[in-house]
Amino acid sequence: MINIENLCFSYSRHTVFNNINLNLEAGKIYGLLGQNGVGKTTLLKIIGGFLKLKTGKCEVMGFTPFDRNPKFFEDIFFIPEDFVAPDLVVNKYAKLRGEFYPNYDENKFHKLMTEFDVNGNSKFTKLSFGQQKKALIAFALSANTKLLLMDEPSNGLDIPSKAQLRKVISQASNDQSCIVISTHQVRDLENLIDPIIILDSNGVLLNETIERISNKLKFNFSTKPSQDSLWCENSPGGYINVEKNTDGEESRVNIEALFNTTLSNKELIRNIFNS
Amino acid sequence: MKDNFNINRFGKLIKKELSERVPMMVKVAAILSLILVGFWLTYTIFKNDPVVSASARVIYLYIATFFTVVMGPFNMYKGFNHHKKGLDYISLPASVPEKFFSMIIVSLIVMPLVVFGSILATDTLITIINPSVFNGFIFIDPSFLNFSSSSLADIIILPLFCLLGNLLYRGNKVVKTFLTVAGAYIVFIMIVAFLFLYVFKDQMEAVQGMQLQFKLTVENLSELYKNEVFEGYPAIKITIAVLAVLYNIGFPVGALTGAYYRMKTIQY
Repeated sequence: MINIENLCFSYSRHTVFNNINLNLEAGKIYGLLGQNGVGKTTLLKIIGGFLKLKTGKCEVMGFTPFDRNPKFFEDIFFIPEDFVAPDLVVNKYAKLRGEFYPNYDENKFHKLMTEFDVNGNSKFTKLSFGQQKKALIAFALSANTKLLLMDEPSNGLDIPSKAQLRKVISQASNDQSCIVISTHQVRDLENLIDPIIILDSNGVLLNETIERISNKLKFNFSTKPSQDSLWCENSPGGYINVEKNTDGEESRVNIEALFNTTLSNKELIRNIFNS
Repeated sequence: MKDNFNINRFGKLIKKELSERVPMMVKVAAILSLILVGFWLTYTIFKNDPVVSASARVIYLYIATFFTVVMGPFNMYKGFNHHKKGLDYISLPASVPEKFFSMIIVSLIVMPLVVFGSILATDTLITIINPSVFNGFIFIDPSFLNFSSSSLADIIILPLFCLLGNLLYRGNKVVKTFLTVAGAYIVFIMIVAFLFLYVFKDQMEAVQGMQLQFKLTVENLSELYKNEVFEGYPAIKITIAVLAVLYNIGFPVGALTGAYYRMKTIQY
Protein backbone atom coordinates (compact mmCIF):
# COMPACT_ATOMS: atom_id res chain seq x y z
CA MET A 1 0.00 0.00 0.00
CA ILE A 2 2.84 2.41 0.85
CA ASN A 3 6.21 2.01 -0.77
CA ILE A 4 9.02 4.35 0.24
CA GLU A 5 12.43 4.01 -1.37
CA ASN A 6 15.56 6.04 -0.65
CA LEU A 7 13.48 8.90 0.66
CA CYS A 8 15.38 12.08 1.53
CA PHE A 9 13.77 15.08 3.13
CA SER A 10 15.04 18.21 4.82
CA TYR A 11 13.71 21.47 6.18
CA SER A 12 16.15 24.08 4.80
CA ARG A 13 19.47 22.85 6.20
CA HIS A 14 18.03 20.42 8.72
CA THR A 15 18.03 16.93 7.27
CA VAL A 16 15.17 14.82 8.59
CA PHE A 17 15.38 11.70 6.42
CA ASN A 18 18.35 10.43 4.53
CA ASN A 19 17.65 7.43 2.33
CA ILE A 20 14.94 5.69 4.26
CA ASN A 21 13.06 2.66 2.94
CA LEU A 22 9.72 1.46 4.21
CA ASN A 23 6.96 -0.83 3.02
CA LEU A 24 3.54 -0.79 4.61
CA GLU A 25 0.85 -3.31 3.75
CA ALA A 26 -2.93 -3.27 3.86
CA GLY A 27 -4.78 -4.99 6.68
CA LYS A 28 -2.52 -3.74 9.45
CA ILE A 29 -2.45 -1.06 12.13
CA TYR A 30 1.08 0.31 12.21
CA GLY A 31 2.45 2.01 15.29
CA LEU A 32 4.97 4.68 14.37
CA LEU A 33 7.28 5.41 17.29
CA GLY A 34 10.27 7.67 17.69
CA GLN A 35 11.79 10.37 19.85
CA ASN A 36 10.73 13.99 19.47
CA GLY A 37 12.00 15.52 16.24
CA VAL A 38 12.91 12.32 14.39
CA GLY A 39 10.26 13.02 11.76
CA LYS A 40 7.16 10.99 12.60
CA THR A 41 4.80 13.82 11.69
CA THR A 42 6.96 14.70 8.69
CA LEU A 43 6.72 11.13 7.44
CA LEU A 44 2.93 11.16 7.83
CA LYS A 45 2.77 14.50 6.00
CA ILE A 46 4.88 13.15 3.13
CA ILE A 47 2.61 10.10 2.86
CA GLY A 48 -0.43 12.41 3.04
CA GLY A 49 0.80 14.66 0.21
CA PHE A 50 1.41 17.74 2.35
CA LEU A 51 5.18 17.79 1.93
CA LYS A 52 7.31 17.27 -1.13
CA LEU A 53 10.24 14.91 -0.89
CA LYS A 54 13.62 16.10 -2.10
CA THR A 55 14.74 12.82 -3.65
CA GLY A 56 13.62 9.22 -3.58
CA LYS A 57 10.24 7.66 -4.11
CA CYS A 58 7.05 7.61 -2.11
CA GLU A 59 4.18 5.72 -3.69
CA VAL A 60 0.87 5.41 -1.89
CA MET A 61 -1.84 3.18 -3.40
CA GLY A 62 -0.21 3.74 -6.80
CA PHE A 63 -0.22 7.53 -6.45
CA THR A 64 2.56 10.02 -5.87
CA PRO A 65 1.09 11.85 -2.86
CA PHE A 66 2.35 15.34 -3.71
CA ASP A 67 0.52 15.18 -7.08
CA ARG A 68 -2.58 15.69 -4.91
CA ASN A 69 -4.83 13.70 -7.17
CA PRO A 70 -8.46 13.88 -5.96
CA LYS A 71 -8.74 10.08 -6.32
CA PHE A 72 -5.82 9.79 -3.92
CA PHE A 73 -7.47 12.07 -1.37
CA GLU A 74 -10.70 10.07 -1.65
CA ASP A 75 -8.85 7.12 -0.14
CA ILE A 76 -6.75 8.78 2.52
CA PHE A 77 -7.51 10.72 5.68
CA PHE A 78 -5.00 12.47 7.90
CA ILE A 79 -5.83 13.28 11.50
CA PRO A 80 -3.34 15.89 12.70
CA GLU A 81 -2.14 16.13 16.28
CA ASP A 82 -3.44 19.69 16.66
CA PHE A 83 -6.69 19.93 14.79
CA VAL A 84 -7.62 23.57 14.19
CA ALA A 85 -11.37 23.33 13.99
CA PRO A 86 -13.38 25.49 11.60
CA ASP A 87 -16.20 27.67 12.91
CA LEU A 88 -18.85 25.18 11.83
CA VAL A 89 -21.50 22.90 13.28
CA VAL A 90 -19.98 19.40 13.46
CA ASN A 91 -22.84 17.69 11.58
CA LYS A 92 -22.68 20.29 8.81
CA TYR A 93 -18.92 19.84 8.56
CA ALA A 94 -19.40 16.09 8.19
CA LYS A 95 -22.28 16.38 5.71
CA LEU A 96 -20.49 18.82 3.41
CA ARG A 97 -17.21 16.92 3.42
CA GLY A 98 -18.76 13.46 3.40
CA GLU A 99 -20.00 14.06 -0.15
CA PHE A 100 -16.41 14.00 -1.37
CA TYR A 101 -15.67 10.54 0.06
CA PRO A 102 -17.31 7.78 -2.02
CA ASN A 103 -17.47 5.35 0.92
CA TYR A 104 -18.61 7.86 3.53
CA ASP A 105 -21.21 6.38 5.88
CA GLU A 106 -23.33 9.03 7.60
CA ASN A 107 -25.02 6.51 9.91
CA LYS A 108 -21.64 5.32 11.09
CA PHE A 109 -20.65 8.93 11.79
CA HIS A 110 -23.71 9.53 13.97
CA LYS A 111 -23.19 6.19 15.72
CA LEU A 112 -19.56 7.04 16.50
CA MET A 113 -20.53 10.52 17.67
CA THR A 114 -22.99 8.93 20.08
CA GLU A 115 -20.36 6.44 21.25
CA PHE A 116 -17.90 9.27 21.82
CA ASP A 117 -20.65 11.29 23.53
CA VAL A 118 -20.14 14.38 21.34
CA ASN A 119 -23.07 16.60 20.35
CA GLY A 120 -23.01 16.90 16.57
CA ASN A 121 -25.30 19.92 16.64
CA SER A 122 -22.66 22.02 18.40
CA LYS A 123 -20.14 24.17 16.66
CA PHE A 124 -16.57 22.87 16.78
CA THR A 125 -15.54 26.06 18.53
CA LYS A 126 -17.97 25.36 21.38
CA LEU A 127 -16.45 21.93 22.04
CA SER A 128 -13.39 21.11 24.11
CA PHE A 129 -10.18 20.10 22.34
CA GLY A 130 -10.77 16.44 23.18
CA GLN A 131 -14.33 16.57 21.86
CA GLN A 132 -13.18 18.28 18.66
CA LYS A 133 -10.65 15.54 18.18
CA LYS A 134 -13.23 12.83 18.80
CA ALA A 135 -15.55 14.44 16.24
CA LEU A 136 -12.75 14.48 13.68
CA ILE A 137 -11.84 10.85 14.44
CA ALA A 138 -15.53 9.90 14.05
CA PHE A 139 -15.63 11.61 10.66
CA ALA A 140 -12.31 10.09 9.57
CA LEU A 141 -13.47 6.58 10.43
CA SER A 142 -16.85 7.15 8.72
CA ALA A 143 -15.10 8.26 5.53
CA ASN A 144 -13.97 4.61 5.23
CA THR A 145 -10.78 5.51 3.42
CA LYS A 146 -8.25 2.82 2.60
CA LEU A 147 -5.49 4.66 4.41
CA LEU A 148 -5.87 6.44 7.72
CA LEU A 149 -2.97 8.46 9.12
CA MET A 150 -3.30 9.43 12.78
CA ASP A 151 -0.84 11.73 14.49
CA GLU A 152 -1.05 11.31 18.27
CA PRO A 153 -4.75 10.43 18.19
CA SER A 154 -5.00 9.80 21.95
CA ASN A 155 -3.61 13.22 22.93
CA GLY A 156 -6.28 15.28 24.64
CA LEU A 157 -8.67 12.36 25.10
CA ASP A 158 -10.02 11.44 28.54
CA ILE A 159 -9.59 7.92 29.96
CA PRO A 160 -12.93 6.44 28.76
CA SER A 161 -12.40 7.96 25.32
CA LYS A 162 -9.02 6.24 24.98
CA ALA A 163 -10.68 2.87 25.49
CA GLN A 164 -13.37 3.83 22.96
CA LEU A 165 -10.67 4.96 20.54
CA ARG A 166 -8.95 1.56 20.75
CA LYS A 167 -12.29 -0.13 20.16
CA VAL A 168 -13.34 1.94 17.14
CA ILE A 169 -9.92 1.76 15.51
CA SER A 170 -9.80 -1.99 15.86
CA GLN A 171 -13.33 -2.21 14.39
CA ALA A 172 -12.34 0.05 11.50
CA SER A 173 -9.40 -2.11 10.51
CA ASN A 174 -10.00 -4.56 7.67
CA ASP A 175 -8.02 -6.44 5.02
CA GLN A 176 -8.21 -3.58 2.50
CA SER A 177 -7.33 -0.74 4.84
CA CYS A 178 -4.14 0.39 6.50
CA ILE A 179 -3.93 2.54 9.60
CA VAL A 180 -0.73 4.31 10.63
CA ILE A 181 -0.67 5.73 14.13
CA SER A 182 2.15 7.94 15.29
CA THR A 183 2.26 8.10 19.06
CA HIS A 184 4.28 8.66 22.19
CA GLN A 185 1.46 7.25 24.32
CA VAL A 186 2.19 3.61 23.59
CA ARG A 187 0.25 2.37 26.60
CA ASP A 188 -2.91 3.98 25.22
CA LEU A 189 -2.64 1.90 22.07
CA GLU A 190 -0.97 -1.28 23.31
CA ASN A 191 -2.66 -4.44 22.00
CA LEU A 192 -3.81 -2.42 18.99
CA ILE A 193 -0.72 -1.49 17.04
CA ASP A 194 0.97 -4.28 15.13
CA PRO A 195 3.52 -4.02 13.45
CA ILE A 196 5.75 -1.53 15.24
CA ILE A 197 7.92 0.95 13.34
CA ILE A 198 10.65 2.72 15.27
CA LEU A 199 12.27 5.73 13.66
CA ASP A 200 15.41 7.54 14.65
CA SER A 201 17.49 10.28 13.07
CA ASN A 202 19.24 7.73 10.83
CA GLY A 203 16.08 6.17 9.49
CA VAL A 204 13.95 3.14 10.27
CA LEU A 205 15.42 1.16 13.16
CA LEU A 206 12.68 -1.45 13.34
CA ASN A 207 9.65 -2.47 11.30
CA GLU A 208 8.44 -5.76 12.72
CA THR A 209 5.27 -7.50 13.75
CA ILE A 210 4.55 -8.17 17.42
CA GLU A 211 4.80 -11.90 16.70
CA ARG A 212 8.30 -11.58 15.26
CA ILE A 213 9.40 -9.27 18.07
CA SER A 214 8.14 -11.81 20.57
CA ASN A 215 10.06 -14.54 18.74
CA LYS A 216 13.28 -12.60 18.78
CA LEU A 217 13.14 -10.83 22.15
CA LYS A 218 12.03 -11.90 25.58
CA PHE A 219 10.41 -9.46 27.99
CA ASN A 220 10.31 -10.53 31.59
CA PHE A 221 9.76 -9.04 35.00
CA SER A 222 12.07 -10.05 37.84
CA THR A 223 13.08 -8.88 41.27
CA LYS A 224 16.69 -8.34 40.16
CA PRO A 225 18.34 -7.12 36.97
CA SER A 226 19.34 -9.80 34.51
CA GLN A 227 23.02 -10.06 33.51
CA ASP A 228 22.19 -10.99 29.91
CA SER A 229 19.64 -8.26 29.33
CA LEU A 230 19.84 -5.89 26.42
CA TRP A 231 17.82 -3.44 28.43
CA CYS A 232 16.95 -3.36 32.10
CA GLU A 233 14.47 -0.91 33.50
CA ASN A 234 13.72 -0.28 37.13
CA SER A 235 10.00 -0.36 37.74
CA PRO A 236 7.90 -0.51 40.95
CA GLY A 237 8.44 -3.94 42.54
CA GLY A 238 11.29 -5.09 40.34
CA TYR A 239 12.93 -4.87 36.95
CA ILE A 240 11.76 -5.19 33.36
CA ASN A 241 14.41 -7.12 31.46
CA VAL A 242 14.62 -7.39 27.72
CA GLU A 243 16.78 -10.23 26.48
CA LYS A 244 17.51 -12.02 23.26
CA ASN A 245 15.00 -14.85 22.97
CA THR A 246 17.14 -17.96 22.78
CA ASP A 247 14.71 -20.59 24.03
CA GLY A 248 11.81 -19.73 21.70
CA GLU A 249 9.47 -19.02 24.56
CA GLU A 250 7.13 -16.20 23.68
CA SER A 251 6.47 -13.32 26.07
CA ARG A 252 4.17 -10.31 26.08
CA VAL A 253 5.83 -7.41 24.25
CA ASN A 254 6.28 -4.31 26.37
CA ILE A 255 6.39 -1.57 23.75
CA GLU A 256 8.03 1.03 25.97
CA ALA A 257 10.79 -1.39 26.89
CA LEU A 258 11.13 -2.42 23.23
CA PHE A 259 11.51 1.23 22.25
CA ASN A 260 14.23 1.86 24.84
CA THR A 261 15.99 -1.41 23.97
CA THR A 262 16.02 -0.52 20.28
CA LEU A 263 17.34 2.98 20.84
CA SER A 264 20.16 1.83 23.10
CA ASN A 265 21.16 -1.22 20.99
CA LYS A 266 20.62 -0.07 17.41
CA GLU A 267 23.15 -2.32 15.69
CA LEU A 268 22.46 -5.32 17.88
CA ILE A 269 18.71 -5.09 17.31
CA ARG A 270 19.28 -4.76 13.58
CA ASN A 271 21.45 -7.90 13.63
CA ILE A 272 18.95 -9.84 15.75
CA PHE A 273 16.10 -9.09 13.35
CA ASN A 274 18.16 -9.59 10.21
CA SER A 275 19.37 -13.01 11.34
CA MET B 1 -9.10 15.08 -17.53
CA LYS B 2 -11.64 14.00 -14.88
CA ASP B 3 -8.84 14.00 -12.33
CA ASN B 4 -8.16 17.65 -13.10
CA PHE B 5 -11.69 18.88 -13.48
CA ASN B 6 -14.93 17.11 -12.76
CA ILE B 7 -18.05 19.23 -12.98
CA ASN B 8 -19.95 17.25 -10.31
CA ARG B 9 -17.09 17.50 -7.86
CA PHE B 10 -16.67 21.18 -8.67
CA GLY B 11 -20.38 21.70 -7.99
CA LYS B 12 -20.04 19.98 -4.62
CA LEU B 13 -17.03 22.12 -3.83
CA ILE B 14 -18.81 25.36 -4.70
CA LYS B 15 -21.80 24.25 -2.63
CA LYS B 16 -19.55 23.43 0.33
CA GLU B 17 -17.60 26.67 0.04
CA LEU B 18 -20.70 28.82 -0.19
CA SER B 19 -22.44 27.04 2.70
CA GLU B 20 -19.41 27.51 4.91
CA ARG B 21 -18.69 31.10 3.95
CA VAL B 22 -22.15 32.62 3.80
CA PRO B 23 -21.95 33.91 7.41
CA MET B 24 -18.79 35.85 6.56
CA MET B 25 -20.35 37.27 3.38
CA VAL B 26 -23.48 38.34 5.25
CA LYS B 27 -21.36 39.93 7.98
CA VAL B 28 -19.30 42.01 5.54
CA ALA B 29 -22.38 42.98 3.47
CA ALA B 30 -24.25 43.98 6.64
CA ILE B 31 -21.38 46.14 7.92
CA LEU B 32 -20.95 47.97 4.60
CA SER B 33 -24.71 48.46 4.21
CA LEU B 34 -25.01 49.72 7.78
CA ILE B 35 -22.31 52.31 7.02
CA LEU B 36 -24.66 53.64 4.31
CA VAL B 37 -27.56 53.64 6.79
CA GLY B 38 -25.34 55.50 9.27
CA PHE B 39 -24.47 57.98 6.54
CA TRP B 40 -28.17 58.57 5.86
CA LEU B 41 -29.04 58.95 9.57
CA THR B 42 -26.14 61.34 10.16
CA TYR B 43 -27.25 63.53 7.23
CA THR B 44 -30.88 63.41 8.31
CA ILE B 45 -30.16 64.33 11.95
CA PHE B 46 -27.30 66.79 11.70
CA LYS B 47 -27.72 68.64 8.39
CA ASN B 48 -30.28 71.37 7.81
CA ASP B 49 -30.74 70.83 4.12
CA PRO B 50 -29.55 67.28 3.59
CA VAL B 51 -29.17 65.99 0.05
CA VAL B 52 -26.82 63.13 -0.89
CA SER B 53 -26.53 62.94 -4.63
CA ALA B 54 -26.81 59.64 -6.47
CA SER B 55 -23.33 60.04 -7.97
CA ALA B 56 -21.78 60.38 -4.47
CA ARG B 57 -23.51 57.16 -3.42
CA VAL B 58 -22.32 55.44 -6.61
CA ILE B 59 -18.78 56.29 -5.53
CA TYR B 60 -19.42 54.72 -2.11
CA LEU B 61 -20.96 51.65 -3.77
CA TYR B 62 -17.88 51.14 -5.95
CA ILE B 63 -15.35 51.87 -3.23
CA ALA B 64 -17.08 49.41 -0.88
CA THR B 65 -17.31 46.75 -3.61
CA PHE B 66 -13.68 47.26 -4.62
CA PHE B 67 -12.64 47.01 -0.96
CA THR B 68 -14.53 43.70 -0.77
CA VAL B 69 -12.88 42.35 -3.90
CA VAL B 70 -9.44 43.30 -2.63
CA MET B 71 -10.00 41.93 0.87
CA GLY B 72 -12.01 38.89 -0.34
CA PRO B 73 -9.14 36.39 -0.47
CA PHE B 74 -7.82 37.55 2.93
CA ASN B 75 -11.27 37.33 4.51
CA MET B 76 -12.35 34.04 3.00
CA TYR B 77 -9.15 32.04 2.68
CA LYS B 78 -6.88 33.48 5.32
CA GLY B 79 -5.97 30.07 6.74
CA PHE B 80 -5.34 28.36 3.42
CA ASN B 81 -1.54 28.30 3.71
CA HIS B 82 -1.47 27.96 7.51
CA HIS B 83 0.52 24.88 8.59
CA LYS B 84 -2.40 23.54 10.61
CA LYS B 85 -5.55 25.32 9.39
CA GLY B 86 -4.75 24.68 5.73
CA LEU B 87 -4.64 20.88 6.03
CA ASP B 88 -8.42 20.54 6.08
CA TYR B 89 -8.87 22.34 2.76
CA ILE B 90 -5.90 20.99 0.84
CA SER B 91 -6.71 17.37 1.76
CA LEU B 92 -10.28 17.67 0.48
CA PRO B 93 -10.76 15.25 -2.43
CA ALA B 94 -10.94 17.86 -5.18
CA SER B 95 -8.32 18.82 -7.74
CA VAL B 96 -6.14 21.92 -7.53
CA PRO B 97 -7.88 23.59 -10.53
CA GLU B 98 -11.27 22.98 -8.88
CA LYS B 99 -10.07 24.47 -5.60
CA PHE B 100 -8.46 27.38 -7.41
CA PHE B 101 -11.55 28.26 -9.46
CA SER B 102 -13.82 27.88 -6.46
CA MET B 103 -11.56 30.25 -4.53
CA ILE B 104 -11.79 32.82 -7.34
CA ILE B 105 -15.55 32.43 -7.70
CA VAL B 106 -16.25 32.70 -3.97
CA SER B 107 -13.83 35.45 -2.99
CA LEU B 108 -13.57 37.57 -6.16
CA ILE B 109 -17.03 37.16 -7.68
CA VAL B 110 -19.75 35.97 -5.29
CA MET B 111 -18.70 37.93 -2.21
CA PRO B 112 -18.36 41.29 -4.06
CA LEU B 113 -21.71 40.63 -5.78
CA VAL B 114 -23.37 39.99 -2.41
CA VAL B 115 -21.92 43.24 -1.05
CA PHE B 116 -22.82 45.14 -4.23
CA GLY B 117 -26.39 43.81 -4.13
CA SER B 118 -26.76 44.48 -0.43
CA ILE B 119 -25.60 48.12 -0.67
CA LEU B 120 -27.68 48.69 -3.80
CA ALA B 121 -30.77 47.24 -2.10
CA THR B 122 -30.18 49.29 1.06
CA ASP B 123 -29.68 52.46 -0.98
CA THR B 124 -32.82 51.80 -3.05
CA LEU B 125 -34.84 51.22 0.11
CA ILE B 126 -33.61 54.45 1.72
CA THR B 127 -34.25 56.33 -1.54
CA ILE B 128 -37.86 55.08 -1.51
CA ILE B 129 -38.34 55.89 2.20
CA ASN B 130 -36.63 59.26 2.21
CA PRO B 131 -36.12 60.64 -1.31
CA SER B 132 -35.42 64.13 0.00
CA VAL B 133 -32.06 62.99 1.45
CA PHE B 134 -31.09 60.21 -0.94
CA ASN B 135 -31.91 62.01 -4.11
CA GLY B 136 -32.50 59.68 -7.08
CA PHE B 137 -31.87 55.98 -7.59
CA ILE B 138 -28.21 55.20 -8.12
CA PHE B 139 -28.84 52.61 -10.82
CA ILE B 140 -30.21 55.30 -13.13
CA ASP B 141 -27.32 57.67 -12.43
CA PRO B 142 -25.04 58.15 -15.50
CA SER B 143 -21.94 57.22 -13.45
CA PHE B 144 -23.44 53.78 -12.67
CA LEU B 145 -21.86 51.09 -14.91
CA ASN B 146 -19.63 53.69 -16.54
CA PHE B 147 -16.51 51.61 -17.24
CA SER B 148 -13.84 51.66 -19.89
CA SER B 149 -11.85 48.58 -20.85
CA SER B 150 -8.62 50.21 -19.61
CA SER B 151 -10.10 50.94 -16.17
CA LEU B 152 -11.25 47.31 -16.01
CA ALA B 153 -7.61 46.18 -16.15
CA ASP B 154 -6.78 48.57 -13.30
CA ILE B 155 -9.66 47.14 -11.30
CA ILE B 156 -8.67 43.48 -11.65
CA ILE B 157 -4.90 43.79 -11.15
CA LEU B 158 -4.98 44.56 -7.42
CA PRO B 159 -7.49 41.82 -6.46
CA LEU B 160 -5.49 39.24 -8.41
CA PHE B 161 -2.31 40.30 -6.65
CA CYS B 162 -4.22 40.02 -3.36
CA LEU B 163 -5.19 36.47 -4.31
CA LEU B 164 -1.51 35.71 -4.92
CA GLY B 165 -0.36 37.51 -1.76
CA ASN B 166 -2.84 35.60 0.37
CA LEU B 167 -1.37 32.31 -0.84
CA LEU B 168 2.23 33.48 -0.83
CA TYR B 169 2.60 35.03 2.60
CA ARG B 170 1.86 33.20 5.84
CA GLY B 171 1.90 36.17 8.22
CA ASN B 172 0.99 39.88 7.93
CA LYS B 173 -0.51 39.02 4.58
CA VAL B 174 -2.32 42.28 3.86
CA VAL B 175 0.63 44.56 4.67
CA LYS B 176 3.14 42.40 2.80
CA THR B 177 0.85 42.12 -0.24
CA PHE B 178 0.27 45.87 -0.48
CA LEU B 179 3.97 46.59 -0.02
CA THR B 180 4.80 44.08 -2.76
CA VAL B 181 2.22 45.57 -5.13
CA ALA B 182 3.50 49.08 -4.39
CA GLY B 183 7.08 47.89 -4.95
CA ALA B 184 6.17 46.21 -8.26
CA TYR B 185 4.33 49.34 -9.39
CA ILE B 186 7.29 51.58 -8.53
CA VAL B 187 9.71 49.28 -10.38
CA PHE B 188 7.41 49.30 -13.41
CA ILE B 189 7.16 53.11 -13.35
CA MET B 190 10.95 53.34 -13.06
CA ILE B 191 11.40 51.07 -16.08
CA VAL B 192 8.92 53.19 -18.07
CA ALA B 193 10.66 56.40 -16.97
CA PHE B 194 14.10 54.97 -17.79
CA LEU B 195 12.98 53.94 -21.26
CA PHE B 196 11.45 57.31 -22.11
CA LEU B 197 13.99 59.54 -20.40
CA TYR B 198 17.20 57.74 -21.40
CA VAL B 199 16.72 55.06 -24.08
CA PHE B 200 14.40 57.19 -26.26
CA LYS B 201 15.84 60.51 -25.13
CA ASP B 202 16.41 61.93 -28.62
CA GLN B 203 13.06 60.84 -29.98
CA MET B 204 11.24 62.23 -26.94
CA GLU B 205 13.01 65.57 -27.32
CA ALA B 206 11.84 65.66 -30.94
CA VAL B 207 8.29 64.84 -29.89
CA GLN B 208 8.36 67.57 -27.23
CA GLY B 209 9.67 69.94 -29.90
CA MET B 210 6.38 69.50 -31.69
CA GLN B 211 4.81 71.49 -28.84
CA LEU B 212 2.28 68.75 -28.20
CA GLN B 213 0.81 68.14 -24.78
CA PHE B 214 0.38 64.61 -23.50
CA LYS B 215 0.49 62.89 -20.16
CA LEU B 216 2.65 59.83 -19.67
CA THR B 217 1.14 57.55 -17.05
CA VAL B 218 0.77 53.82 -16.72
CA GLU B 219 -3.03 54.07 -16.93
CA ASN B 220 -3.00 55.68 -20.35
CA LEU B 221 -0.47 53.39 -22.03
CA SER B 222 -3.16 52.06 -24.36
CA GLU B 223 -4.29 55.57 -25.28
CA LEU B 224 -0.69 56.63 -25.68
CA TYR B 225 -0.16 53.79 -28.17
CA LYS B 226 -2.96 55.21 -30.31
CA ASN B 227 -1.51 58.75 -30.15
CA GLU B 228 -0.57 60.00 -33.61
CA VAL B 229 2.44 61.83 -32.24
CA PHE B 230 4.42 58.56 -32.18
CA GLU B 231 3.55 57.53 -35.73
CA GLY B 232 7.04 58.32 -37.00
CA TYR B 233 8.74 56.47 -34.12
CA PRO B 234 8.07 52.73 -34.44
CA ALA B 235 10.53 51.81 -31.64
CA ILE B 236 8.62 53.94 -29.13
CA LYS B 237 5.31 52.62 -30.40
CA ILE B 238 6.44 49.01 -30.02
CA THR B 239 7.81 49.75 -26.54
CA ILE B 240 4.53 51.34 -25.48
CA ALA B 241 2.64 48.35 -26.89
CA VAL B 242 4.86 45.91 -24.98
CA LEU B 243 4.44 47.92 -21.76
CA ALA B 244 0.66 48.14 -22.26
CA VAL B 245 0.41 44.38 -22.87
CA LEU B 246 2.64 43.73 -19.86
CA TYR B 247 0.51 45.94 -17.63
CA ASN B 248 -2.94 45.00 -18.88
CA ILE B 249 -2.39 41.31 -19.62
CA GLY B 250 1.00 40.25 -18.24
CA PHE B 251 0.38 41.41 -14.67
CA PRO B 252 -3.10 39.88 -14.25
CA VAL B 253 -2.14 36.63 -15.98
CA GLY B 254 1.13 36.50 -14.02
CA ALA B 255 -0.69 37.00 -10.72
CA LEU B 256 -3.23 34.28 -11.61
CA THR B 257 -0.55 31.85 -12.76
CA GLY B 258 1.54 32.56 -9.68
CA ALA B 259 -1.43 31.98 -7.39
CA TYR B 260 -2.25 28.68 -9.13
CA TYR B 261 1.35 27.49 -9.01
CA ARG B 262 1.58 28.43 -5.34
CA MET B 263 -1.59 26.50 -4.59
CA LYS B 264 -0.30 23.46 -6.45
CA THR B 265 3.10 23.40 -4.77
CA ILE B 266 2.36 24.73 -1.31
CA GLN B 267 3.75 22.61 1.51
CA TYR B 268 2.44 22.26 5.03
